[in-house]
Amino acid sequence: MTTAAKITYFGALLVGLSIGAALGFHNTTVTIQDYLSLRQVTDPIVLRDFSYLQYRYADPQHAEAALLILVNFLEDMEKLTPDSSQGQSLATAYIRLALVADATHDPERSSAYMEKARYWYRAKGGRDYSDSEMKAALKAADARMESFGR
Amino acid sequence: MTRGPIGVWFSVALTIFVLSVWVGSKLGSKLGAEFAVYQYRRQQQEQGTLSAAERAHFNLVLSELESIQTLYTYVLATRHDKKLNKTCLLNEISGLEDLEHKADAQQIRAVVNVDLGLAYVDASMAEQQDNNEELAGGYMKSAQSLFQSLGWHDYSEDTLRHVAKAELDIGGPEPQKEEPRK
Repeated sequence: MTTAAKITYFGALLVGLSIGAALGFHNTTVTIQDYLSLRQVTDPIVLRDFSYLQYRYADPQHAEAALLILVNFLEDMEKLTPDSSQGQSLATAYIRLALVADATHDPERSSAYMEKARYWYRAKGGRDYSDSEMKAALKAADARMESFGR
Repeated sequence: MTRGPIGVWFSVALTIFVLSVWVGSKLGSKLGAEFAVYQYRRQQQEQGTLSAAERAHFNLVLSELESIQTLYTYVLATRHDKKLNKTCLLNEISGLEDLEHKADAQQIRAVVNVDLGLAYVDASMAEQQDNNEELAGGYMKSAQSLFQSLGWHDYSEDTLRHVAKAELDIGGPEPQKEEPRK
């Protein structure tokens, strides 16, 4: 093999490896970053479904326990990634917790949950609604869900 | 340089180039995956306020939730194929039963139980369609026992069927049955 051939082959190897590595690195990094960002939206779905079903069909104790599992998970998610946009879901979960407390005639617990609901709603740029407005809005949204068969 | 050797050189160089791009992309992908995960974890450490132990626990719960979601996604994705769907349903049930008994899944045991209950109802409906009344009844009883333990007021067959159908419909409308051609 001549020197020129060796140089050509080595050049082809070097350029090929560099181009391949750069493309592979870029594509994988972008894909995994997209996937990890998407997880923040998709991961709580199982918990949201679970807590909604328990809220709708279970007794107040089980409903509250389920909503607290969701709330703890979403708060951990917020602590892990402060801009993970879970504020709306947290506000909704806290309003449901307040409604469960209302059903068990526990006004103190209900207002404590509503305090947290307002905090999360305002933290993500929402308006400062009254407790009754927030509860009414959620009840209306739940009624719409029920009309779709849920 | 003669014309012949140049053609051979070029072909060999091109082959080396193509193979190198392939090998390079594999190496790059591996490095890229590790880098992306490292960067994500570092970002969480810098921005987040969870301790290392809390982060580890959170990630464990996350992976268990992903397992539940994945098992359910297979069931949804195979709704058009009755036989395959039944296999995926049985796979979902066995996966959820395993997860239920795993020590680290205790915290989300209720979550697993709700999904397992719904899977039992789906399996019961599938068996009923195949006229396996005994199996269908067995699955329904398992579902009812789970939902009773989960504090449901109404765990009648009708309610459970209604809830399971609604959950499946949220995942995507039921595929239309093909009309026989006249």
